[in-house]
Amino acid sequence: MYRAILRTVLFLSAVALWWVAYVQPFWRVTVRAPQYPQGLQVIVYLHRVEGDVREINLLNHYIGMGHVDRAAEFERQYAWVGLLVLSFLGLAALGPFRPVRWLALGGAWAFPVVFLGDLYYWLYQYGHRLDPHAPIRIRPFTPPLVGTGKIAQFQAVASLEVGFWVVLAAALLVTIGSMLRGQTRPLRVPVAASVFTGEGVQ
Amino acid sequence: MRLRFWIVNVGLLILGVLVGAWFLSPTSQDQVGAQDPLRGVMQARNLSLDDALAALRTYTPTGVPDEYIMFASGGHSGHVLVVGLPSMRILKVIAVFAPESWQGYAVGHRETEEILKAGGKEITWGDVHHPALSETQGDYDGQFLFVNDKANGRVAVIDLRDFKTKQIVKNPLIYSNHCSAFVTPNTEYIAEAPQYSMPYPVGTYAPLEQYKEKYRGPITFWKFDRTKGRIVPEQSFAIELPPYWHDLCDAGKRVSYGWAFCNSFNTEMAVPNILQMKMPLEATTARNEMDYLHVINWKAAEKLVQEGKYETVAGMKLIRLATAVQAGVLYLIPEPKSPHGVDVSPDGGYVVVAGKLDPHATVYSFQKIQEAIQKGLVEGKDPYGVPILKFDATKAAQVELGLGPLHTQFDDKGYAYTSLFLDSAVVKWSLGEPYFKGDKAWKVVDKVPVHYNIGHLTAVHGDTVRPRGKFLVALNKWSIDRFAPVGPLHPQNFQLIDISGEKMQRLYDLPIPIGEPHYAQIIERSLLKPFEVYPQVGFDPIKMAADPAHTVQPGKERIERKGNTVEVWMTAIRSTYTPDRIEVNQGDRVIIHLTNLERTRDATHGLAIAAYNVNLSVDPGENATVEFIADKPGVYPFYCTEFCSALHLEMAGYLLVKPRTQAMK
Repeated sequence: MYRAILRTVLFLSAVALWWVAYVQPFWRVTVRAPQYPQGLQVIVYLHRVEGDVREINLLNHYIGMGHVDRAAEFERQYAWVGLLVLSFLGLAALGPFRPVRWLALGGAWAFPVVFLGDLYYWLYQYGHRLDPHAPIRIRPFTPPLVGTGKIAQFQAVASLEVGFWVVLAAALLVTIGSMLRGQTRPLRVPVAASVFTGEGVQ
Repeated sequence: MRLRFWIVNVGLLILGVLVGAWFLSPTSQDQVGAQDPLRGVMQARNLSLDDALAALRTYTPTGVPDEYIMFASGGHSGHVLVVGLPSMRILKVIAVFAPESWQGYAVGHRETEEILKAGGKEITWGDVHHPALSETQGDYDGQFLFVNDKANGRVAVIDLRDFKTKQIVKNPLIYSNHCSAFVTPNTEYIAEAPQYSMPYPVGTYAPLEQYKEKYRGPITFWKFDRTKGRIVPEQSFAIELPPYWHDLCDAGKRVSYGWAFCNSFNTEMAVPNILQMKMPLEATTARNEMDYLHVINWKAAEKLVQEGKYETVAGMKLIRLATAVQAGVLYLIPEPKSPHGVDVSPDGGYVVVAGKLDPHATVYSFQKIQEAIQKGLVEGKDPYGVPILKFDATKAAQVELGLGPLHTQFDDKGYAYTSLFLDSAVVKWSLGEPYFKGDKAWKVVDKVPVHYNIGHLTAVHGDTVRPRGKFLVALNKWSIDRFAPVGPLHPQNFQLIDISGEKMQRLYDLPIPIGEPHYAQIIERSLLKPFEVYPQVGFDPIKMAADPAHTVQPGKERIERKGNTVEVWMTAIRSTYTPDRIEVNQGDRVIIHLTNLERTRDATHGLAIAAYNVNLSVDPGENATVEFIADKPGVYPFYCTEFCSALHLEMAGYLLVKPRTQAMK
């Protein structure tokens, strides 16, 4: 019984964490150059882009890169819908239907993976779809997803931020919650465990 | 054998020690430098320990802002200098009374040209003497700076949010204006009085033979509206004074709040006539042993204005001399002849007057002045009926300081510092009670030579109710041999002096190459809160507010023609003007509204237009306007004069003015 309670707490926490993550930054790139002693930052949230966007856009125009605040407009606009669906799954997974549980588990892990994939897609797009009429022509490149990169005198340092880690934590909670559910019904132990640990399949 | 053995061995030992000592001894500079870099530099540059200490006290590494900011008059350049202390680095020149192309001040820029014109049409220079920071309760508040133009009778207002001139007012009664700007303790008023009396309003003619009857030296109290950041001429007033030549004033503070003290010379009322009299003014104006300190109750004068006891002359409310005397607004006190500085002590209790030709500082007690007024201790009246209070009844002390004492500043420990013009020195001396008592009071404690011919001096908050001590700057008129020769016109010399200890120490010389600076004031930097960029795009620095009507939004750039007027709505952002092609017909009126869209510190753009005498300097977020008649046909490149990016040279365009004949087709 206590396991069922714990499971409920874990799933509810995961749902709460998703919404906490919604208002937290997911990714940040800091660009440094001699004439920007404080550096310039772009901070990406699920639904908005913050920081020195104006100045970054201004600098980007020299190499023909697009406006960073026009990237992923669809994703940012409808992130809340995706999150709503995921939350619904997370709550529904507390019910008796096993497929829903699988969906919730899949969704919890898909969330950070899709975020990273989409971010990489946009970074690639921005680095490769350069305006051929720009004043300065450079070789197409992909800005760093995580870690450092260098473009002319600009040193970029990219990092994943609290929102991303919160989402990852939520995925873990859902995973543990799912395992707990498995343990309450001894028959399914080998099956559930095999999925998550690769053990127990005889 | 044994003896020889010892001789050889001892001999070798001594030789060894000598060789070792020779190796270890600091014989060359390189060796010293290697062991002690500081001493090595001192030897290489021939610096004394005091020199090295002075360097260490003033050196300010890159990226470290100065602790204090000095606002110094730029003299007859018509500008104001902003200098950081203790580094003595010049941070800015603020254009005030003269066009200045770096700041785009009145060089084709409509807004600043209007400011300059408001202060007198076609006058393109000024003689800035005395900057005055705005005060709240007698201490600098870091909001505004006021400066005078001695030559043309003007006062300017500078806003310290952007360090730019906002307003110039021309006094309708006077031209020469030495006695300005000084502010009352809450910046209620900015006072202005003429050195050379004249018939008024300006433009009035009266021969010098009628000097005593027709000439006057009114003191004006300009009302300042802090929220608007403007002088309000309609709420200002003047008090008629006898035609003596007024020199300097200071406002009373704390106990003497509500009063002002001005000294004067030429109470002889001599007029120039050197060809016939064979006597120069310098002799005829210095015959009397005593001149007059003017004691003015400006609070009482304010009341007279409220009661309507004034006449309006050329738009200025003027309290006549007789009215002022009757209401107890004006008193005179004898002061040693040809005085120069008058400075009120931080507690408001003393008025220090220093006379160029008298080696003493004469110190008056405000309390005694009040007693003399109340008890009627009067020794007579001047020819205009102004009561003259008894010198001995008002005097607190006379302190022998040295030759040619001029101006006095104060520190936080009860000392006064007076410039000695003839001695080329600064003298430190103690004030009386409550600062020092008995034997310790009114004593010279230190003197330091300066180079050369010091005029004013200034200490940190040195004329406020709360002087901070620390530093003093001697504003020297001559530099003679202090710097590398640069031709017969020598720079002036600002000398930084450390006054934190018992003894004063000279630290640094700063040559000033743009004019003869007179007075300066030093404020704690933390009190200044200037913009880094204008608060929003489309800001009008004159109104200090957003100006949507003249803001050009990106994408809305355009050229509009209405009859013969071509209006260009232009934006600037690294590294593009939009539009970059302006085609007009000869004779068209061209108006360019330019908005700098930048939000980045230091991303200022210029706009220079060939042959039309135009150069703008438009700061991030700023709106600016150019207006001219395109009367010269031809092709005129325009470009950005403020290096903004790697593609700065590409930030350009063309103004094409079609000749009339071709325009017809």
